[in-house]
Formats: sequence, C-alpha cells, structure tokens
Amino acid sequence: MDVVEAIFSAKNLSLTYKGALTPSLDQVNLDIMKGELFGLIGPNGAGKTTLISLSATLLKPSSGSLEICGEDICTQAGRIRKLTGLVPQEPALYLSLTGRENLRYYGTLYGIEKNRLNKEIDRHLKLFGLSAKANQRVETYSGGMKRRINLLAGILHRPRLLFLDEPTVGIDAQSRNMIMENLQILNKKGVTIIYTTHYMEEIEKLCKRIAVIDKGRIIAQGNPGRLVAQSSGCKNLSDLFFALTGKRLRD
Amino acid sequence: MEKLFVSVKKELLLLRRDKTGLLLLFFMPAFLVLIITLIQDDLLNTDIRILFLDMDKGRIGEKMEDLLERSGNVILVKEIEGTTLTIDETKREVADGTFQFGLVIPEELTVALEKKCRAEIKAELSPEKTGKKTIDQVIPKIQIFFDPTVQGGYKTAIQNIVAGVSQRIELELKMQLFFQMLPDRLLSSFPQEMASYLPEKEEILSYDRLFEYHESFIEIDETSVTNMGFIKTPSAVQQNIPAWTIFGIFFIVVPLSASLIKERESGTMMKLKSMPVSHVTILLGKILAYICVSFGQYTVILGVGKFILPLFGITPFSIGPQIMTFHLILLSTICSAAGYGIMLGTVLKTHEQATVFGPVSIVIAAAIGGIMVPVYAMPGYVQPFSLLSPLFWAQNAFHDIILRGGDLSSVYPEVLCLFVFTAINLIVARIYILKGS
Repeated sequence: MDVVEAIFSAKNLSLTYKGALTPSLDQVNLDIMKGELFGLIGPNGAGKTTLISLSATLLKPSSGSLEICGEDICTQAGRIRKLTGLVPQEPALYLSLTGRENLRYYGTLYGIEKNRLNKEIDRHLKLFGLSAKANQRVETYSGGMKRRINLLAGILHRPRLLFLDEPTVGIDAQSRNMIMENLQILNKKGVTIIYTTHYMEEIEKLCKRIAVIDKGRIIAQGNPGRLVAQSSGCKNLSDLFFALTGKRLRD
Repeated sequence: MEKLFVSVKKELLLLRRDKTGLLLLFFMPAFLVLIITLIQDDLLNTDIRILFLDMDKGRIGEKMEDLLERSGNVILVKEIEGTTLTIDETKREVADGTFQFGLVIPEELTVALEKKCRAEIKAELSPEKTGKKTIDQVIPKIQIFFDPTVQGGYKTAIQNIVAGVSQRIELELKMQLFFQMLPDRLLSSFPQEMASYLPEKEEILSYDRLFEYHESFIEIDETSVTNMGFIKTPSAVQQNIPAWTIFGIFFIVVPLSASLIKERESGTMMKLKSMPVSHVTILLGKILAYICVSFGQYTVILGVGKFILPLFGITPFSIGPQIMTFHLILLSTICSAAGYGIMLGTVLKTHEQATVFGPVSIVIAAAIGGIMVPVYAMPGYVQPFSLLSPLFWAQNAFHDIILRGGDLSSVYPEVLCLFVFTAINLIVARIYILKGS
C-alpha cells in the first residue's frame, strides 16, 4: 500500500499583521497530499491570500508551523522557493517586455539552464496558444493572454507545489477553459496544486478536496460532493459556501 | 551571476522601451549643458544697452557719455527711430521693458557742480582757512531707471559703472579748478618783490594733459590660483559640464524609484520575493543597469562639450590629466544617485510620490549644492547647507580635478562622502524592506 506524504502541512498556523486586532490566520491545521489539486475557498478577507503568501515564504507566521515539501518555511525559505511556484492574483509581468522576454527573465531567475529554458518556453507558449504573440509586448495582450503568460511564469521551472491565487479572474470563457485544462494536465504530471478562487464551478470541476476558510479559520474541509451531501438544504457548493460563511457582504 | 546579468538586461530593456524616460535621462542634461553654456558664454561678451538722455548739455554730460562708451560694456542709445529722447519717453521705454536701463543726466549739472567745486576749493585755498567745507549748492541728481525685472547683479553693475564714472568726472573737475585757482592764491601770498622770480600764471596752468583720458596706470592682472596647481582657465564649459552631468545623473532617481514602486504595485516584486533569488541581486541588477545608463549620459554630455560646443566657437571641454580620478568621482556620483533612487523607491508609497518628491528633492539639492548658482554667491545663511548636498560634494570634487589641478589625494573626502551617502541610502532601504516583510 502506497503511503501518500503531505507536501503541505500547517500546524496551528497563525498570523496577525502588525497593528491588527484580530489574526488573519487563526490556528490553521491543514495537510495537503502530494499530487492533489486542492481548492481553497472563502469570502474576501477570509485569509486565503495570507495563507498563500505564507506558503510562498513571503510572510512569517506569528505562531505555529508550516512545512512545505518537508522543509520549514521559516528556516528553509530558499529551498522551498526552488520547489514551489506562485501565480499571483494580478499578472506579475513587465508590460513593456514581450511575453517571451518575461518568461526568459523569470525562467533564468529560477535557475533553468539557457537551452532548456528556450525549449520549455517554446513548448509552453504553444501549449497555451501564445506562440503567435510571444514576441509582442505584454501591454498589447488581452486580459486572458496576460493571465496565461502569468501562469506560464509560475510553472516553467516544473515546481513540485504550485500556488494559484485566483488565476482566472476577469477573463473570457475560452481562456478560463484553457487554463483549467492545462492545470489538470499539469496535475496529472504530478504537480500538486493549491487553487484559490471565487468561482465554485471551477472548484467542483477541478478539485477532489477543498477547504473553506473564513475569518482566518478553516471551517470545513473534505471532498466537495461529500461536504454538500452532509449539509442539509445544500444542493451544490455555492449553497454550502453561503451556508458556512453567510450572505453578508465582506468588502 | 546569470541571475544578476539577466536582471541588468531586463532593466536596460525596460529603459530602452521607455522613450520619455530616455529623453529625460539623455536629452535633457545634454540640452541643458548646450544651452546654458552658450548663454553664459554669450553673457560675458554681451554689451548692456542703456537709454541715455543728456539734459545737461555741458561738459559733465559729454564726459559721462565718453567715459561710459569707453568702459567697454555699455552701448548708449540716445534716440529711438530718429527721435531724440525726453525724460518721459525714457521712463516709458524702460517701464515697457523695451530697455532695461535709462540714464538721465539732469539739466544744469555741470553748472551746479562747477559752482560747488569752485566754492569748495576757494574755501580751502583762502588764507583765512574758514574750514567751511559744506557749500550750500544743490546738485541735481543723476537718475537711473531700472526695469523691475532686472536682477540684482546687473543693477549693481550699472550702478557701479555710473558711480565710478561720476566720481572720476568730479575728481577731474576739482583738479582742473584747483590748478586754475592755485596761481592766484600763490601770487597773492608772496611778497611783491619776489614776483619777478615766480613763473607766469599761464605756465602754472599748463597741466591739461594730465586730464586727458588715458587708461589707468594701475593695471589689474587676473590669475586663477589654487593650492593644487593651476591647469585650466575657468570657463563656462569647464564649469557647466560637470555641474549638469551631476544634475542629469541624479535624475536617474526618478525612473529608478518609479520602477521599484511599479514592481511593488504590479505584484512583480512579490513574485520576485517568492523566487529563489536574493533581493540584493535584484537591487544590484538595477544599480548596475543605471550605472550603465549614467555612463551613457556622461558620454553624451562629454560629446556635447568636446564636439558640439566648439562648433559655436567655445573652447572644448577638457578632463585634464587625472582621468582615473575623474571617473572615480563619476562612479561615486552615480552610486550615490542610484542609492538615493533605491531608498526613495523603497520608502515612498506611490508612483506619484516618487515622480514629485524625486525631482523636487534633486532640484533643491542642486540649488543649495551650487549647481545653479555658485555657493560663494549665495547668502551666508544658505552656504552651510551646501555642505549637506551630495551634488555639492560631487561638483567640488570635479572642480578640484578639472579646474584646480587636484588629484586623488585632494578629492578623496568628497568621494568617500558620496560612497557613504550611497551606503546610508541602501541601509535605509534594507531596513524598510525588512520592515515590510
């Protein structure tokens, strides 16, 4: 019997921003297994981006621990950065550089050897339907194209764990579909993915396991279908989401 | 090393594609050097035009006209479109700004001055020596009209020229009258029996040549001196090239700080922080890229000084023999500008803050640092602040090398200050970065 190891393991993880009265993450306990495509959902300000930022070693916890690929984020940030990829909410791209130049820059910073990098760039550009515009400046791209290049910049180095922070916000159905298809392919190739989004149908389609986070706490986790079935009066994930987090605005 | 190289390359690519930024960095300082040097060089050779109205019509008016024209810096305009001036027209022309200066020699000035001088000399020569030196004779005043836009330096220059000429005329008149009146006094004071031994009155009076116009016997010799050994005559080009090169270099602060803020705002900085690359590499990449840019700026400005300005008859710029030291000063200046840019980009919150605070702080530092007006010409209470400006340190070091004939030993304090300034800025930036995480 195969023992599936946790690639992401949070134990009593808490973070309170300086000057804040309440914690943004409060005693989070969460294990994500190697090879999972894990969904993280929650209303605005629930703590999703904070959890992603901690995982990407951008922040340090106030208390508790977080191990990624078996390494502690506080002491082994450098090693973790080589093994993970971050696709931030807003496309983190240089608009006056071309798509190819952006990828070459990020790829080199990930330490990919030049020849391999060029091959990987060509392959991924083709896979994501961006070859034709690869040598044009990103500022001329549509929203969907920017999102796709943004995603490519996070996966070129073949990370073991990929963090995706709402990667499909504000793009057309075609681009969204392409991104989701490619994420499934990537996941099948063994990349563990932690995916945050506000689109419940994306979670239902992609993820076998999810966590619902609100006010910095994990309030539910498990298989989306089973979570819906266990909650009376809920027909789908959206119903469950509102049942758990309420309908009050969270801006 | 490859990460650093790709960071430098990325910065240079971004700059190359920012046409406005390039214009600001390369064209502006080169254009400033060209224009300001041409203007300053021309200023030294430009005569000042003065409306001249002689209502005296006597010897003082004539003498004043003659001496002002001989002074070499003044062109007297006595009529406009063939019409002789009046006092109202003179005032109006100056008030309109058509002329900046109007000089009116009042009526009866010669008569009044002669009367007063004669009375004074007579009192002085009288055997009784009354001692009464103040004679109740009113002298009409010479009037100078100024356009309010005329700056202090020019106003003072014209006042000095007119005052100098007036004093010379008065002295000449007094001397002439003295020699006219002296024989009578001499003849009257000797006993009658000695009269045959005295020279004729006409002989005593024959000193007119003394009062003819001639250049002053006392000549003024101008030499630039320095403790370091003189090499180059100060000129507009020798002074402007370093000054505006420093100014241009410090303007890298604007795109450099803006690029850091832009990276923060767009999320690229966050992405970079999540990658296996140190923050030092990212910042060093920026600094090295802007060092390349600033050396490019300097090359353009040097090209203007060496090849463009000579086309206008101006002596080409010369670095002098201390080439290595010159470039060390240049490097320390660039580093301090880059350090300041990094600090601003880290400390300031928005792009707008950087694009306003950056240039304004540089202009202030340039103003107090003697880039625009020499420090020695500033008010005393401002001068101590010059010592706080990195632009002053840089300019002083450049002047030591190219004007005063100094070497590394004479400029190391300034170079050290510039590197320390760089380090302080980078430390402040580092503190803010750590605070931010």
